[in-house]
Amino acid sequence: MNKIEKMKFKKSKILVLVWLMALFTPLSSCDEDKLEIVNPNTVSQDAFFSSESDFRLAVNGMIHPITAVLFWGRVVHTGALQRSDAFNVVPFQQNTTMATLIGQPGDRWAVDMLPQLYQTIRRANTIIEEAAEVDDEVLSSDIRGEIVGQAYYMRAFAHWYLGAFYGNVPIVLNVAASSEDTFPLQSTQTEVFNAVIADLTEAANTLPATWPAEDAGRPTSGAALALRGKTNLFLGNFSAAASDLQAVVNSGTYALLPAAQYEENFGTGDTENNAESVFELQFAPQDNFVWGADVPQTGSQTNFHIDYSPPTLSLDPGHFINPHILQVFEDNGDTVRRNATIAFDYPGATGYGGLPFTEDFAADISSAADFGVEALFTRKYSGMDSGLTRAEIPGFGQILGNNWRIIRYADVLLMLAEALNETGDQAGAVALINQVRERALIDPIITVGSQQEVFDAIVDERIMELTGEGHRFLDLVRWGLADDVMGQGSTIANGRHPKSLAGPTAFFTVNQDEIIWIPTQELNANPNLVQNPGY
Amino acid sequence: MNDYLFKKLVWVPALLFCSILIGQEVTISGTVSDDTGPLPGVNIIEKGTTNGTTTDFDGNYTITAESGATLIFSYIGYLSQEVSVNGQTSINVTLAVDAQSLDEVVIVGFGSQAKVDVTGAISQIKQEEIRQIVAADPTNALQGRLAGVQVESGGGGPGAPTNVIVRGISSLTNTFPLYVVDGAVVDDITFVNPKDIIDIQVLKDATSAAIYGTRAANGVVIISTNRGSVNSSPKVSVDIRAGVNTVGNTIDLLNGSEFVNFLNQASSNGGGPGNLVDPGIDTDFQDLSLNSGTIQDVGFNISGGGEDSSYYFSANYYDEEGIVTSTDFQRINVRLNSRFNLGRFKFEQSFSYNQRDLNQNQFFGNNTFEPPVVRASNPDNDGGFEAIDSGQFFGSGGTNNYALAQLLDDQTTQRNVLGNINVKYEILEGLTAGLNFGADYRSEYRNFFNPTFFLSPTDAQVNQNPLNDLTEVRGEILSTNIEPTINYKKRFGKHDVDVLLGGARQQIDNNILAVQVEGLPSNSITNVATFADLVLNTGGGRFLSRLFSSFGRLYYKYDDKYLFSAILRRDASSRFSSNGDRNVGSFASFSGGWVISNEDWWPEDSLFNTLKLRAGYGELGSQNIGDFLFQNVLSGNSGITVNNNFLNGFAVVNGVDTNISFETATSTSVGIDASLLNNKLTFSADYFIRDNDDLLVPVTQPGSLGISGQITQNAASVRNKGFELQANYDHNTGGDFNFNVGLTFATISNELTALPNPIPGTGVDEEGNTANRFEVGEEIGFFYGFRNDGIYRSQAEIDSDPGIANDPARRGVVQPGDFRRVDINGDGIINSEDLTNIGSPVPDFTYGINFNGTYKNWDFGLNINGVQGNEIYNATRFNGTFFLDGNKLGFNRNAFVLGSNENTNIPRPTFGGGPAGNNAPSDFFVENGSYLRLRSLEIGYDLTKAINLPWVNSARVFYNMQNVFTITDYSGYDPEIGSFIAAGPGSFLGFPNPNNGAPILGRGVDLGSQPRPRTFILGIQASF
Repeated sequence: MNKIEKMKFKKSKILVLVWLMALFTPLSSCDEDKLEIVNPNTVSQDAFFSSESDFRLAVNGMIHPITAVLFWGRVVHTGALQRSDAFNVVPFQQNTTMATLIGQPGDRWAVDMLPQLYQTIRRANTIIEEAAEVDDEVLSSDIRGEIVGQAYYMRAFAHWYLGAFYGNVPIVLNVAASSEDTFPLQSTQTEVFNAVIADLTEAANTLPATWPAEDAGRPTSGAALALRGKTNLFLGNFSAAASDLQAVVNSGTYALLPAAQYEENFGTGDTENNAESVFELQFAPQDNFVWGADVPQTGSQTNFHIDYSPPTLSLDPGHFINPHILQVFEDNGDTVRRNATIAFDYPGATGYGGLPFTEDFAADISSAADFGVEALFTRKYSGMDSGLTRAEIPGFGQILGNNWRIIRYADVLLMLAEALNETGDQAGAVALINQVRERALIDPIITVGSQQEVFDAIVDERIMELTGEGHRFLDLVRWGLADDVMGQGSTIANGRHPKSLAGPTAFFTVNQDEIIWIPTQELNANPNLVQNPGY
Repeated sequence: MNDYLFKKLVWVPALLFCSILIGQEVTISGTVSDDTGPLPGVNIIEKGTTNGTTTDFDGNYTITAESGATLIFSYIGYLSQEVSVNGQTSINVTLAVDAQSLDEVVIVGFGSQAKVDVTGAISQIKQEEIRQIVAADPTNALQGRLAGVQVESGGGGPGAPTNVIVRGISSLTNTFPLYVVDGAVVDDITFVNPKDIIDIQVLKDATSAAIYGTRAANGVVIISTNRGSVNSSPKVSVDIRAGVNTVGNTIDLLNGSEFVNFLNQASSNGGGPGNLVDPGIDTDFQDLSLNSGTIQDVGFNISGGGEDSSYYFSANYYDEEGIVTSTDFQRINVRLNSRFNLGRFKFEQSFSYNQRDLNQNQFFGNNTFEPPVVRASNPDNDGGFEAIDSGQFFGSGGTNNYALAQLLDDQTTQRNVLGNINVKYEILEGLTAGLNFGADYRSEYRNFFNPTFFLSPTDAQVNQNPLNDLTEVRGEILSTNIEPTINYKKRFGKHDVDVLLGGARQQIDNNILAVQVEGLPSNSITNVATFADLVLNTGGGRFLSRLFSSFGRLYYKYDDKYLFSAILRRDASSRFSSNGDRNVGSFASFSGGWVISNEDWWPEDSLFNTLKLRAGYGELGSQNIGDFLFQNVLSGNSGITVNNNFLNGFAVVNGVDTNISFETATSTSVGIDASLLNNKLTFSADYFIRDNDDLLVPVTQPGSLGISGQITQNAASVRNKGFELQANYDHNTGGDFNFNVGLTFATISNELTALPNPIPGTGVDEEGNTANRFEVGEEIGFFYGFRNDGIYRSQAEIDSDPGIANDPARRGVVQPGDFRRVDINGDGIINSEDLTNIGSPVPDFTYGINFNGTYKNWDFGLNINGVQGNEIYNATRFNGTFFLDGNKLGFNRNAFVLGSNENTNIPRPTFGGGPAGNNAPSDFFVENGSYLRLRSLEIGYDLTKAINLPWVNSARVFYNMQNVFTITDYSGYDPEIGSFIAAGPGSFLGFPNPNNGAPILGRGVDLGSQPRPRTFILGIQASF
């Protein structure tokens, strides 16, 4: 190699080294900010909650788990709400074990509800915490009240059902920041209800009394007071309950519909969000049935009527109404509410599509005969009022999309009557009961009886007014009557047990069935939890 | 120091020095090459001295030696050559390949190593063996040929994805090894034409795989493809194969009248009327669904090379009809590889294009088969088929999967372009700079069309589609890799040093767009086109990740006896938070070896020709999770309706653990390599223990946390231990009959050593019951259910069963013909506390036997593989016995009937398992999964001499059979079920693929895998 070549070689060697240095440089740590890649498919929590519209979107997202198919859209109906004596449920694999009071931890329908309710709670907590971080430019005080008020209301609503259904559950009032928050301890049902009252007090102070039409159905101050009154009633705080419920009455916002429109309380379309509605969950008709929540097209916007349709239309084998329910209507001469509540063979009775009952229900009637029970079927929320034929309604009933009336004004009046009766104002109570009876075009109660007599009247009135709307089981438990009506050996249904179709072990067990079991998954995931008594 | 030694130490070099001074010296230079070009790194030693040098990057060397000396040229894998100087100043040498040791070069990632120097656990297979497998996917070639490498293909469908498991399941989310094709890092090798492959190597342990860092925790599979040879005239080779797939195995099912009889028995047992009348229809849907299919596999290649370059071009077309109706697969491959030298630069380039078209049948195997009382066709219905009408057949519902397979159209096209270029530049002698650049582009298009049809009034949800719907998914992934390296390789006397420093930057960019429309005006419109108003749903997203790494490797060898290697690697990943450096991991591994047979005292006439001991310890990191999993985000899918208007809603739906970081794999292994009998018999044995800790698993959170699903956390640990043996006997006498026998054997013991809560596996029935489980102290995915002690034959047996003595509820429901559950905890109650381990998908051992031989012009090869000691959870037995819908398995002919057929263990017919819950997961569904399979058999005849034309280089015809026979007790279609939903790396492009799922969570659960065809192939290979 001569000298010039050597120099060339050296030069090129240096170039190569520079080139290599350049290659290696990006590998050093100064370049590692390129590793911070923000998820481009959605918005991070840090970037969200920076405008009023963000908060409004978050409020909608908070309500979603409640109306999703995993809670009020379907699941609650299949298990929790069918536990009452009104329904004699036809056993169908695991689908009906909870409704027939023979469910065990691990069975379906208790499993999905609990996380759904806590999802709403977490989302409410997020809104409350994030709202506290932003100034008035993002949320003016009026808007803040609406936003945060809805968060308090929905947090209370979710805790209410957790407390009512599961009894001993954790109260979660902030977004978990540590492992202690991740594995919370249980509270008693009373503590849960007290937390509900505290939240509803916040909500009642900031929520509007009414919403414009485009926001119809959002919680109002009246809804907050009504739920607070109901909670006080459940806690036995009767004077507090009376005061809350009286405030709802005094607001003048609500009124009973005329008798001819009673059935509109369970209908769809224009009949929704009517004057009688204090709080109703909003649903819309939907073509598809898709299971789940927080996923597009997952039936989060409709109510599935599979559990209220007659046995041969339901995809599960359905249920029958126990005859003692019908008897209460007959004893009181109440045909308005009877005909809206129970589908059965009376003169002029119709089924789906306006067909004569006996024609449309022929197969169901024969099914009842096979089971040896009376041919009594649920009418509320069954879609019969829609005028659609059976063929037009799919098994899940998702095309109906009725709003679910969580608190009706009639319920407020009867709860107020109960609170007054318990505080010794029988006359006031009877006056309220009579308002409800008057609307149903039946005779008022003329004599103001004893506290027990008025109580019995309230019990019957609630059967007539509210059967099939999800109140009865919790009423029975609250009144201490569940064992009498549904315990072992009860024969109130024409000499049968109300759950007789599910066999001899399907009965209410005291100190167990008042509340549902904590789902096994929940016990596995949170070592701090203890199973409810009896399970 | 004693005097004598001191003197020797001083005097010997002095004498040497003097002799150099006095001797007559010449400077000799030249080039060393082989038939592919110049060879760098060839050792040149003046015989009888320590004077030596090595060739440079271009094969050039210069040495000063005595004019009368002899030079020894040696290079690993080549026969050494001795050349007398005789005063010459220029000596060019061409080294011949040492046929014995050609196989002994191992590619170790960014370089190669002589096998004798390897201290890690590496297995290798060659072209000849790969070529015997006729398969859509070259991964099939790994099956049974490499100890410790288990391949599970998900049934026999063409293009079916394959699970490759190296040394046991070591993760709960991802077991896929890393693939490196000609230096390019890729996710799988489905796109590689098996005929292009020269060899496949699997780096099994941390000490060998560590150079690939975080992606190598499940092992590394390195594929090398053909590049042609230098100094060879153009050669054209053709390889044409054609054959048929035939139905190898069918399942015994009830016929029409037997099915009606079963329904009547189930009805009566449930208190129903049991009065169905046989309609006289008997359709064999299995027979309709399984048919022979053809295979064509046609390809050619052209290769050649000049002095400084070589090239290889190939093209191939593969077309396979599956034996299951509506399954087809086509693959087109084009490859262009080359290498060339330009001064001090060396380039190696590969480029390939691949297209795969897959027509899938997702319906076959679901819920066994259609009831035989359904007609094969029904022209009165929209679509031309029917499903069962429960109005006519009580209890039975469900859809017609055969009809759906005909009606629905599911077409997937995947295209892949892979380019890789590797540049090397020799800076100084022994010092080389390299740059590797690879780009892997993939696209997928899926068209899933569901026409209008009417099958039955029953189960309208699945049996009626009044509005057609169409889903189109488009996705693309671009992965790029840049890997600069510096390598210094030098021998100093007895010291061999090989140091590598390098870096790697990888980026994976993935984009998906999906749209679903409903109600297209005609079933002949199969594109979304302009029907924007029909859009029902959209999906997709962008996923981007980067990985920056730097690494160093040292190989050191002393005197060809003592081997040492160390690898350090630092990775920084975008998949973890940079907060607290959670996204940075540093991992080290070390290994050593002792070549005992190179010791001076090793007897020349020993039984062992070579004997080496190896040991290694190392750590690897892994990041087997999706992108962005540590980032707290909101989802916009939480809408509601208010006053019948839909409103968008946002919410934090999924929880995240912002603290997640790398998984670690710590492995310790020891091994022995030996050759005996004049190197004819070689074997390797390995023992390893590998602990995978901080595994990223989705951990179930309390519902009270208010997030849906699970949070991915570093929460689990797995330990795998195993013994591997690989032996090969090569009988090459140069006579008429030569053969080679290979044997592989591997054991695995596997245990989940940490997990916060047990994880249930894949659902096996409609109620979502799970049959396998992940629990600390157990094998991964062991089967979990009741143990049965036969069935009750009489009421007396029920009344006297102590297992239910304290269980009035169960005594009230069980009847003769129901399972007698074993009361595991002895409390007289049958409940969830009696669920127990009822089997395991993890085999005790796996093995393979390969034989290749030639006799005169004949050649033959066979490949046997086997799996022993595992169980399969045959969920088809659930569908075929207890499920409300579908036909039932043949053994139900022998079901228990009180009073007439009591001597049986088949439970009484019930709908859905009956009140006693006979359908619950139990050992009734567990079967022995062991098998031995003659996987391939090939006989060839060399026609070259017979043709005897100067322009025909070679010509061979062959006959090949795949899946010749299987010895197994398993009653399903095939014991090699993998996970039915065997998957590529997750769902393709992040968009859910119904056939993909959890390959680990469903392992060993046969949910209806497709039968494997028996394949007969005739082929011809020729070159000109």
